[in-house]
Amino acid sequence: MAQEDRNQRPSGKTPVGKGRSGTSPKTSRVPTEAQRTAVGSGPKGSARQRQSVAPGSSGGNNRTQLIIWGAAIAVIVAVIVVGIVWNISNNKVENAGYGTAAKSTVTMDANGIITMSVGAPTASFDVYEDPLCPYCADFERKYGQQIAQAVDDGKVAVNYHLLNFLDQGSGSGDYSSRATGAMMCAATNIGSTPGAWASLHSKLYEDGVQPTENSVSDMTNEQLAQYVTGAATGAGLAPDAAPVTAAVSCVNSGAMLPTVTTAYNVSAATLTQLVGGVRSPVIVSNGALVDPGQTTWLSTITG
Amino acid sequence: MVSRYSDQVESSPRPVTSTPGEHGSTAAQDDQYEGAASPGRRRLWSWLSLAVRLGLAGVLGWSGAVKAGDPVATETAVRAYSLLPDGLVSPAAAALPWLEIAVALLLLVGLATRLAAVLAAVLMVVFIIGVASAAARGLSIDCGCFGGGGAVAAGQTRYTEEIVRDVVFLLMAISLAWRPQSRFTLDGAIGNAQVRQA
Repeated sequence: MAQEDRNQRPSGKTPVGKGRSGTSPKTSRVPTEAQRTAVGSGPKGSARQRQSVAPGSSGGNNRTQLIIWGAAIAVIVAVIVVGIVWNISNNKVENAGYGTAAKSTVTMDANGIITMSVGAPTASFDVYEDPLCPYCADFERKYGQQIAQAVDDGKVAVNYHLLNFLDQGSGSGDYSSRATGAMMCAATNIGSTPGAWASLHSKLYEDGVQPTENSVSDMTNEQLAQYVTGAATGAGLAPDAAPVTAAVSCVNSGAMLPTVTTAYNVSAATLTQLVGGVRSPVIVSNGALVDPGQTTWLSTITG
Repeated sequence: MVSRYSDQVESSPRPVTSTPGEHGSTAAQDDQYEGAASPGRRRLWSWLSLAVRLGLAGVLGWSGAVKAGDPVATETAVRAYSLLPDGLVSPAAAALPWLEIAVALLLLVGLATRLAAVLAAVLMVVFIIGVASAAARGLSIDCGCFGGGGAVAAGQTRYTEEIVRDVVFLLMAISLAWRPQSRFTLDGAIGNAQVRQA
């Protein structure tokens, strides 16, 4: 930047386009050096040297540089701060502090669709999600607790359509299938225990629990089974109760993997009609796509 | 009025920025000097420079806006490079789009053009290193340069194309950092306001 400074300083005084000769570069530079000394250093520059500077010209250029740099840095800082604040406000967790739907129970149908509810609510919506999908984790983080309260209050039922299309993005190559299978094992075995499946579901999307897409490692069946056991005991079941051990052996044996495939095929057909292909998360209510970017989407559904 | 002053402020008696130091001693250097200082060429350069400036602003603004609009994808893209430690991925992914937008804004209005051009060049160097290292490590990822990003199928990487494109942007940024003077800059307007005050 100092170069630019020097670049501009003589220009105000040097007549451009005339008097240019072979010697001009040298001669025009001499005062430049003098100016620099005079302007740059307080004690060294004598009054006479200072006067040799065109009044205001050099000072003006220094000040110009200060103004320009100050403004530029202010712009950069302001844009980044405003942007990050905007991001944070966009990512606000709705109904923070509520936790998971502790009263909810789940049932699973033959197509592997898991319905979470309390009682028989009139409103419902469908969630299509893959256990490895970071956007699904984001959706769960932002709206999970709001959904949980609406479910606990008996206002809405949620139909979870679990997908496994991100298998190839996992370290093991089949994490989505195995995690979906584990949630199905839990749904069929411990789904009737209030809160058990809901806490497993939200646990598997938790930051630090959900494996990262495209990383080398994910969870083994044993680790998945431990989360199933943890969710069961958290809901009041004994770790060696028959439903819990049944769920664990279901996870370890991969007994639900055929249902995972069935569920995917059914979901893929619906998603292709709705959004032209398989992606996640997709939220659907009454056959229409819901935009979770609108923070009021849930209250619109529950009425 | 502004444009007349602008010409004065922008015109330099010699191409100072290229090689500060020895000048005017040899015939070759004199020729170079004469050529660079000719008003016609300077005017041409100031328009070229404007095109480069606006082009870079468009590229950075677009890529920044796309990334800012999809923070989750941006974080996934940054993570896919596996270059940053886990704790730094989120902050870097949160700040990067806005830094791009800020630099684009500076270039668009021509404020601290050289600073902005240097920042743009630094960004491009970082992107080139990132993509080149992903290629060298045999990762199969999308660069996420204009949104998107993350893993792609093994045969679907486009590293060469991505690097060539970024090198072109880098050269544009370097040329602008080398000679930041161009048409319609706030730098020029502020300089002129100062000159008039003086």
